[in-house]
Amino acid sequence: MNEDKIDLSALALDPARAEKLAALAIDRAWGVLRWSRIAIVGGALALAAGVLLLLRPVDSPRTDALLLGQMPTADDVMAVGR
Amino acid sequence: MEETAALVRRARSGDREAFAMLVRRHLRTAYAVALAELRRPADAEDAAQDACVRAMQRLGECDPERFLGWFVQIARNRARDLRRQRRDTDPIPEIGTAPRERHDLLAALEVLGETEREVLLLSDLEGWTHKEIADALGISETNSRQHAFVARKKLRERLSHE
Repeated sequence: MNEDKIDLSALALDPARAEKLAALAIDRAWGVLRWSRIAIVGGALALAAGVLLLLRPVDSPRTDALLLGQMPTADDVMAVGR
Repeated sequence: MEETAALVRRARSGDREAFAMLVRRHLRTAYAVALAELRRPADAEDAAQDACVRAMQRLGECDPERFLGWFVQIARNRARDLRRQRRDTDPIPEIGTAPRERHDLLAALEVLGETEREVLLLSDLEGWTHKEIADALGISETNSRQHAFVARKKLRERLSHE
């Protein structure tokens, strides 16, 4: 079978244009992937924090205080000892 | 040159360099497939870029050993989506914006069927072998040769009339 190719070079993508398109595609795709990874890690951390909150000891004012970012009061410390 | 399958594996593990190499290596493939579908170079550029972005975002879904076929399918689908969005536009670019030879070739591609256009562009524009075309398009090697033969014959006939 004849394999005498047709010259289609007039349809070819200019190399400089191809490089520009590739660079744009890489930036777009990589940017989206990076944000989706950040979202996944953020979601996992939020989930872990939620689980910790659910599993915390019910009668523990000190744990509550620490989770809320507060220093325990003397009464809290005494409550833990009781 | 590093095998495509190895690049896909590296890119999937978060290697940006492998990711960039994959896009640079296959953007022209996406362009050829999109041009076969759209026959408007500017639209084919948009479709090729979008196809690369989509493919890279979904790299986890692809079998590294069958990357090309998977990628060609994404490029084809993206081009079809774009064609549906721009249904009202003439597939042939205005003569004033394209060199005469390019315009004539684009107009002549009209006489070919979709697979004939894909095979012809991958073979005669991108220099792929029939084995590569057959693997990527999911057809037999003989079928690829037949499509190329018929496409060249039709295209030469059309161009000789112009």
